Amino acid sequence: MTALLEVKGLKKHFRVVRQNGFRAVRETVHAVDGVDLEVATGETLGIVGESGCGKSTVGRTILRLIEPTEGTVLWQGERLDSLRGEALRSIRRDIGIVFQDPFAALDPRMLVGDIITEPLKAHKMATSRTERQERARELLITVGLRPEFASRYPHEFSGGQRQRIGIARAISTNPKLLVLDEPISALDISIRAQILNLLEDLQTERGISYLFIAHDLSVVRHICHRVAVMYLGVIVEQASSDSLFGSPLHPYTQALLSAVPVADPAIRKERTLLEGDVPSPVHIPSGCRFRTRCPLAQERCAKETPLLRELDTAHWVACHFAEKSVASGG
Amino acid sequence: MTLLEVNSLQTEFKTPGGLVRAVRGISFQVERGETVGVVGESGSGKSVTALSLMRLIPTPPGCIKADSILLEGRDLLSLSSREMQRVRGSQIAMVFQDPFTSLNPTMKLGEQVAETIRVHNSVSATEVKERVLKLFEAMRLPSPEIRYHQYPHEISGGQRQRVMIAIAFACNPKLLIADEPTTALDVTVQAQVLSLMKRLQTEHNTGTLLITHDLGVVAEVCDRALVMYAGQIVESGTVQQIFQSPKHPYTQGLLASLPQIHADSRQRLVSISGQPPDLARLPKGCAFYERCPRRLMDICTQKEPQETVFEDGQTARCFLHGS
Ligand SMILES: Nc1ncnc2c1ncn2[C@@H]1O[C@H](COP(=O)(O)OP(=O)(O)OP(=O)(O)O)[C@@H](O)[C@H]1O
Ligand SMILES: Nc1ncnc2c1ncn2[C@@H]1O[C@H](COP(=O)(O)OP(=O)(O)O)[C@@H](O)[C@H]1O
Ligand code: SF4
Ligand code: SF4
Ligand SMILES: [Mg+2]
Ligand SMILES: [Mg+2]
Repeated sequence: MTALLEVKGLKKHFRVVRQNGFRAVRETVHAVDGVDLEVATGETLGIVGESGCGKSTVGRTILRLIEPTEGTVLWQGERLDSLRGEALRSIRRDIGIVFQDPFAALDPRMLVGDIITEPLKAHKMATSRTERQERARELLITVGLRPEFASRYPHEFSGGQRQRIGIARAISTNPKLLVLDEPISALDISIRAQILNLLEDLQTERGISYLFIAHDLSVVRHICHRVAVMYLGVIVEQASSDSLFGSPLHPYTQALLSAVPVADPAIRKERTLLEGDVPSPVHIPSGCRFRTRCPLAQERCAKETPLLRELDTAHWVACHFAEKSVASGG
Repeated sequence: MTLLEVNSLQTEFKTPGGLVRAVRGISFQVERGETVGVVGESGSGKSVTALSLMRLIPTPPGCIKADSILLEGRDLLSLSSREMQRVRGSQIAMVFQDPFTSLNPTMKLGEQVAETIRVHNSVSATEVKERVLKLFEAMRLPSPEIRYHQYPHEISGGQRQRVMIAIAFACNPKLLIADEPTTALDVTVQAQVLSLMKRLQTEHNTGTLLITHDLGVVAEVCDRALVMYAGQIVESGTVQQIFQSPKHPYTQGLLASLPQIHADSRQRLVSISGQPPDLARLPKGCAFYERCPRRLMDICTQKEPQETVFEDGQTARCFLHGS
């Protein structure tokens, strides 16, 4: 079976100019540095990792909001970059995006009804105004808002409501895949569960696939079927949610999980604290990128780049000593 | 003597949209060496509480009223602004969410810590520098000598927050108020910062008021917690009490709505419907009524529930438990 979305060898390098005193220094930011991933129909794939590891850049290249430096994106088996005209437009309809910040994402001068049906207009899927108004009302009901909200402005709504509006817009064209870039991070704690439930309902009803970008691991555990862990532009581990959270194999994943505070004072745990900070994506360490912070690093790690290996069924990990880390960490 | 005792603190803001009742009569205590968590969603009054204690609320539009705010028995509200300034920094220190805005961008990091030490103590220049380097070491800042001469933009967010904590501890404060100190950080860095903060706090026997919206952080590092909703403390107790037997429907709802990292199944989350009330147009009766799954029809809309104190010291403001 072909995957809905398949990404192969994806790279995105940004050329930047940094001012160092009076000198201008040209540098390359290796934001995404060779990523492979697949999303099946009706599936939620999570991407987690620390700030700056390249999660959003992966999402944006898939949407072709930015052009990849290298690599291919296949949509139902077809190369996205080879598509032109109507074929490309139809794919644009099939992939939607929801952003983190529900405040910045909505045009304050537009009515809510126009905001959520704008993609329909752009894709000529609903040409008459009355048709769009009818769709707007339906969409608002779908995301749990009142249909009369269509004739109001975004500033009249709370964060959670605005995120619902953002979701209504994203699903207006009946997409097959939604890229959700930290969709609940900016929301209040009492509102997050509402939005997570809404996303789950939409998936059950419509079979939409999600690429769920987040840094909150508990949320990812809850909503994702599979999870990819990124570090400095590459995927270091990928597995089903149960397998990744139940028996993490990469030392980085283990440290990440260990750092998550658990809302239960009975489980105050001994942590394996990671020392230091993420290295700059301009100067990537040789060999294994994680070696500057890895408690298990050895000489070999500086010389050889570990490739993703399938250590357990559908459980991939990029570490020379993953077998050992199972015994020591987790 | 109790380190900090707050009695009926009330802070309001006069705005064009009406009187915003940000903090509505809250009372609590912090003992030496104790960490008290303040949780609640955005707008529930956590930061206004912190700023009111420091007397940093702009007046007008703000107005702080309280029966008393006692720091080791001394009423902070009765101090002149000069005396209050001396209390800030020497006896009460504060760490904010965004360390970038609270650090001076044009001043060397080491100098910023040194300045705090000099303002509040008369010690020799070499001793000041030694103390700064020691603090940097305690905060696990790599190569403290180099950091001393760097500027805020040259280090990472996690390192900036550690410099802020170094500044906060530079004068050996009795009380530390940390307002979302790790909210902007990655979990890995958050874990580092929290454990360093905890260590310094234990060493100095500092009482801490830790403001956060992350219930995980509260469970991990706090001894007691105050749950705020719409400007009131709706529940308080030890973290064991709050997490194991929450009494207020809001606390119960929050805990039930959290996805569990240890849960195997993808069970549907219990969510709290609706949203918090507008603080300028508070309903009569209980502020949580609109969203409360356990509301008792009549009484909840007619009267404001008062605080019930349980035998073990836990408190809740809800008619399910008393008046
Ligand atoms: N337009 C750009 N020009 C230069 N560098 C960029 C650009 N966009 C992103 N980067 C850099 O690429 C890297 C990856 O960024 P990205 O936004 O994908 O991270 P992220 O994983 O989404 O982080 P966060 O969790 O903070 O959202 C970072 O180092 C970032 O600074
Ligand atoms: N300077 C101000 N003027 C008017 N309203 C304010 C001011 N500062 C805070 N508020 C209001 O007080 C309430 C509580 O805010 P705050 O304590 O910052 O919440 P949080 O719990 O998120 O820290 C909010 O409704 C906020 O809008
Ligand atoms: S390859 Fe080496 S440095 Fe990289 S994660 Fe494995 S043990 Fe650590
Ligand atoms: S007082 Fe009534 S409405 Fe308020 S929390 Fe208790 S039961 Fe719910
Ligand atoms: Mg991002
Ligand atoms: Mg705040």
